[in-house]
Amino acid sequence: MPTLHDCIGLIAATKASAINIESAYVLRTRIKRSLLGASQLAAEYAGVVGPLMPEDIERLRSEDPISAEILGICVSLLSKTRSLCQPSEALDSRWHSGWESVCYDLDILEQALLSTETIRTIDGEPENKSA
Amino acid sequence: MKRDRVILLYGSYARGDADDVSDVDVLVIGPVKPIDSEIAELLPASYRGVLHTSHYTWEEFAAMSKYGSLFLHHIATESKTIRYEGDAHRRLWDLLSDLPPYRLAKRDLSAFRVTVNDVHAGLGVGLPPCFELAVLGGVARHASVLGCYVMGRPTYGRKSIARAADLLHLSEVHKDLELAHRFRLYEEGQCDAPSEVSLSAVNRTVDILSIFLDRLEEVIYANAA
Repeated sequence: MPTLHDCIGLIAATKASAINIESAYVLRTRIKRSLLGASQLAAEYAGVVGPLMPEDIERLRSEDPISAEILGICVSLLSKTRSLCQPSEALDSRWHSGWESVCYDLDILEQALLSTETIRTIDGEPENKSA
Repeated sequence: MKRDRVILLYGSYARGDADDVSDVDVLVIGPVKPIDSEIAELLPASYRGVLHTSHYTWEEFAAMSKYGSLFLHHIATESKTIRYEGDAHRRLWDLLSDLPPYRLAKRDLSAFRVTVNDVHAGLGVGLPPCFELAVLGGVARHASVLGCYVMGRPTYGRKSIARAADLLHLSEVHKDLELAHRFRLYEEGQCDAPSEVSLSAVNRTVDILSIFLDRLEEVIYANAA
């Protein structure tokens, strides 16, 4: 299970690969990895079973508002990724026009993930709220 | 012009070799993508697979034709028109009939290698091995399609993995790569989880796929020389 630090690292790796926007193929998988890590962390935070695959994220439900926010961002990003990168072929022209929006959502996801750490610290439960 | 739209069937249902894990691949070219239920109504009821619809505008499709998109070679080889409106059919074949050879093979190869190497990062932070195996399965399929193309034997279905492995004199590894691809199908909801996955199985697939990509690189660079 990825830690918060791992998840931030996965997002950073995704953004780093976008320096060369022709790496749409690499980006697609890195985004999926970021979303899977973030949603697993959110699931752990909410005390529910995490997803095994990115496509499972849409089926996750959480009553915890922060986890629900993270999962919502993940679902939105997953949908954008599908549209930007067709199943058949990474389409660079769409990344050129759509990357800004994806990058913005990744920033929001990062902030939402970091907010779990803040709340855990306030709660005095830095490792696992659900434990 | 504005209403030109064509809806095409491609993949296993177009080839006629669909099985119980096949998805229904549909391509829409036109200004607006129709909703899936509208497309489903155009398909025979016997098509039971998950519907996957790709949509491109004419501008995007024309841009892809300029670099000889491998996907467009696929469409030119084995697609069937389901419906067209306006002048779409003529526009489609104007773009497909004179496709240049695909020329981004080196770039694709580089992306495949980065994606395979990334699997270690995913495993390192504890992401599920089944996801990482699905990633490898996707690369195996895409690299195989590319390999078959550059070796002059275009093959676009799942059989491309066995065909490419054979052409690269690696026929002993095709079952491992096909198993990995099965996890890709699982990821996309086309089949149940094939089996439990161990870390060692994923690492073994990384090694196999790296050798596969090494052989493919030799072919690509030999062709370019």
